[in-house]
Amino acid sequence: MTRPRNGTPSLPNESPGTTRSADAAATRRRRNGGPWATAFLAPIAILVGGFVLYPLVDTFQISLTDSSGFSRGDAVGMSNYSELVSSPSFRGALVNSIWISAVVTLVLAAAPLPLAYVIHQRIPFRRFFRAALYLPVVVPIIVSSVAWKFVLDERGLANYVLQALGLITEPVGWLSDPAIAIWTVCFVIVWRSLGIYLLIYLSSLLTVPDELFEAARVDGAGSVRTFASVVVPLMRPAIMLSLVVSFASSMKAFDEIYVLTGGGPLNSTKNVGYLIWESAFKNLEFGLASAMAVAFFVIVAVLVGGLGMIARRTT
Amino acid sequence: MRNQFTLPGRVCVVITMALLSALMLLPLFWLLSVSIQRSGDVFAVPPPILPSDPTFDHYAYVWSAGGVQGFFLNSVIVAVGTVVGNVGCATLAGFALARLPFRGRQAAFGTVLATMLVPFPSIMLSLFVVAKNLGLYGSLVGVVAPLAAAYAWLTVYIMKEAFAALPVELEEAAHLDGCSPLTTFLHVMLPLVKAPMATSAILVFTLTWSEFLWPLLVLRLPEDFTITIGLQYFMSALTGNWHNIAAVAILASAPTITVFLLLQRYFFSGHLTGATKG
Amino acid sequence: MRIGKRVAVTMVAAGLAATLAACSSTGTPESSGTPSSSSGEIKLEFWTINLKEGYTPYIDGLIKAYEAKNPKVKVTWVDISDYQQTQSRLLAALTSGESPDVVNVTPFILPLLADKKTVLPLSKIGPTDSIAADYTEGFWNAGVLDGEAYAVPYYGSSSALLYNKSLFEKAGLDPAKPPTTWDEVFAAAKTIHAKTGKAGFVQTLDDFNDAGNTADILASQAGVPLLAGDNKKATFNTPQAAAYFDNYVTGVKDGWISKTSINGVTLDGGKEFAQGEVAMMFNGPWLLRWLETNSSPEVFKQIGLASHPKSPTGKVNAFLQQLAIPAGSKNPEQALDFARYVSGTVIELAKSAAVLPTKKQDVANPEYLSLFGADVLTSQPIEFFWPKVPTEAKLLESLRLQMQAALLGKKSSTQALDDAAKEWDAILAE
Repeated sequence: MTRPRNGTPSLPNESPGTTRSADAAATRRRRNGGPWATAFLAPIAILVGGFVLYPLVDTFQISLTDSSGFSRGDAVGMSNYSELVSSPSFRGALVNSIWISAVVTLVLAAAPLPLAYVIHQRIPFRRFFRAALYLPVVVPIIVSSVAWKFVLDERGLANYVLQALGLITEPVGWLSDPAIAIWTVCFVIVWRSLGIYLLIYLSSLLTVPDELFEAARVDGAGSVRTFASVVVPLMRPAIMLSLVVSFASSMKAFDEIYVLTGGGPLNSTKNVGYLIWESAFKNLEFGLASAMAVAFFVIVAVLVGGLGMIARRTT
Repeated sequence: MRNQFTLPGRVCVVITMALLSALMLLPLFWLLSVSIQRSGDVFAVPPPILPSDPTFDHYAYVWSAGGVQGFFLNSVIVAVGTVVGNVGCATLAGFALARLPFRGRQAAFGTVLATMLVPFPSIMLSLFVVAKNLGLYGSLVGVVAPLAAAYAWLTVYIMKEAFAALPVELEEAAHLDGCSPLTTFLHVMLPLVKAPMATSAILVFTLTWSEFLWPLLVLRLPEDFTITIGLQYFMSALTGNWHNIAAVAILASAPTITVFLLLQRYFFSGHLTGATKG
Repeated sequence: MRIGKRVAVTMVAAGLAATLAACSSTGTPESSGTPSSSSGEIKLEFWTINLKEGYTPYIDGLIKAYEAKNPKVKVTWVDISDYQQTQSRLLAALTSGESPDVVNVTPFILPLLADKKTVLPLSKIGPTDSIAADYTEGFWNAGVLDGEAYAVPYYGSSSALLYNKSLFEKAGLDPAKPPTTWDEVFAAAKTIHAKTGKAGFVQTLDDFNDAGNTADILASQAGVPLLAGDNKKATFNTPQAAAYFDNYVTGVKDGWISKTSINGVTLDGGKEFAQGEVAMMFNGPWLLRWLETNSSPEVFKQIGLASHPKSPTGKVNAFLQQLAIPAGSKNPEQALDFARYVSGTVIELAKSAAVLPTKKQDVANPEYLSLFGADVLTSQPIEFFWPKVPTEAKLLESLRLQMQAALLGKKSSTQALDDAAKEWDAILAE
């Protein structure tokens, strides 16, 4: 069946697939690799440079002005940044961002692990389960959020079913209770991205030789013990990859909040991404919004860098 | 073979997975159900889970409604254009990053990966100015280029892993035969990374199809609008009929769902993390 | 070998350049908005909000009629699905220099757009006195900021009472006599909740206009002005306003006001109303069209329409769509002419949605008065209760959040209004 060729997946930044022999071959041609590399990298450099990096630098420049978006505005130095430091709404949004990310990241790194393990086994309907779990990923967010909004409404399907089952007596304010709405947002983000991490884990399970499972069974290890003592340790690099990617992407969460709660109730689901959008396009304070974007980018980069470092140290 | 479960364990596992799958499919199932209910059923109490008297009128209505077919075509152009641009560039870059030694390779790869951290709404305005200066405002290319760039980190990562996983002997043999890196790339390496390229393409296709904020900003005339913008028309406050909204929503998701169901094996074959099949 | 490599590198680069060039040549941005001098043709780009789905024949018809009368003019119509998108898309269009000529705006975004000099004062285009005389004063004044008119009124609406007759009957109330004052509304709501278990009414703090209902509760229902005359100080934190808003706090707590009022939007309330879970809601009667397409015929038959309950001010909260001319328009005179023409087609629109014309002659026109909803819409004088200041989006967000906190029981009404007033003063001082 499958035979792994390149071991387990590795973390970004770790110079993954460059095996030792590839490096050796590389060294032999080190003298003339440069111009070729330039040619091969030029397109991506133009693309990423022009449409991500340059706008990022430009955003920093805008953050030093009072631009309304319609014009470049006047230079105001660091005043947008000092406004941020003392702004309760920025602080609140930052807390929400981190809170949402922490919950989503932990669930997304852990939950798909047993699911992948189960689907990797020869169980009935495994192809169906695999497709069902991945399907939300390919549904446009605006479509799925609209559907969830309807299901989770005060008088929606969810409350109706739960009431019919006698699990709740009063309708739950999934989207209207500030103590609950943030959990609902986390849930929908997890629902939508679970498949991605399932995919990462399944890919990485393909690299585990079947003989290992066989050996575990011969040793008399049950399914739970095999999972705990064989699968989890082998999947460590994939878990770390999932942690980093899910943290970075959940910090950026925007679409679900935009469609589901609009940041409410009581700002309980307003994260930094949403606040940036609101200040820029609703209040036309592009200078301030840009300062938020730059500050947020730096904060996320530091957090992800830290997470990556911990991840690398433990593997 | 791969089967660690006892019989009761298997039963439990299958039941749990079935319940979980039901939860995952619930919103789509609900949309599908509403899209074929009679007008008015959507607000019935209790909410009907299954349509009592299915109808396809809503599909007929929205499909013939002004512009929907054009919105679809535009979405296809945008998604395919983004896939071609993104995967093309990422494949070239992946080869260089995995196989060509040069100073600053780590830094280059790190920079591309770091773009994962940039929140899209925050650079939207600057991006818009760039698009405008390149004369891309109001054109589908203006939608494509930034989206292709936004997902570069993902596909560059996949392609770099894919190239790195290829045996070094191939390259050495090619080198001894006097092949330049370009010929090695085109004739030796490229045929071997078709599967990861397909994986990248499918991922980018599904991601791009969903996009709505950026097309909304950069497109100007209705004949260029994509289906996600079209969906918002139907959600119109004055007349929005939920059955029509559900029908458009299902239509808007159909291409990505179809692509996924048909090409599942590329999703689940391990290319995402460089674990290629032998 | 070495030369060959260079050639190859160059070829890769050249190939890429060619691809990029090919890409950029496929998308030629249209150049409407610019007068094409050679033929003397005048192109106008016209943006509406949310009129595509269901109203395309109306818009197409009015454009065709205008083009027939003005053979040199070619109108391109772009519909935008909600007003918040108008702001970001206008931003994009003006940044790009390819401006539309006539843009549908609302009094909620106009002050900010005017403050950023993105829409033209009408006096820059021509004399406005004769134009002003055509329109109902309240609607015209909604577009006048610091003495300058920035928009032509298009169509409006005032709030009305929508109620569920069968719930009234079940609660022992007379469906032929809906409440006419807010005290009666509260009393009816309590009775309905006690007798049927359903909520008496829903009034979402968030609505299409983002803030209309918060302004309605304080300025119209409680009769407390939001701002002092010079627009520098909040004036709504009075004991009177707090005592009035306590009705809402109690209502939400006790269940005779729907909890959806806290964080829902208008259509969430509309949905509950259509489900028969709520007995009353307050909205422009145009919502009936939405209710008709979405609810079952049995439920729709039960819906009654009546005048908005009387408030101490004697005036009813109004909503308005306006037409503004962006600063980037290449043909402002023609654009203004077109805007005035469009505002005169509202009777046609009112045939399919119960809206209120803004032109004096149209409101008095028997053809209009015979249309559904016209009696209710014209039954009370209208008023715009929200402040006309550039920071109004921020002000109303602050007010909404504080009122939300009170409804959730996080703070008292007095505290919430005091806190909101403090935030308002800070925003207004900026």
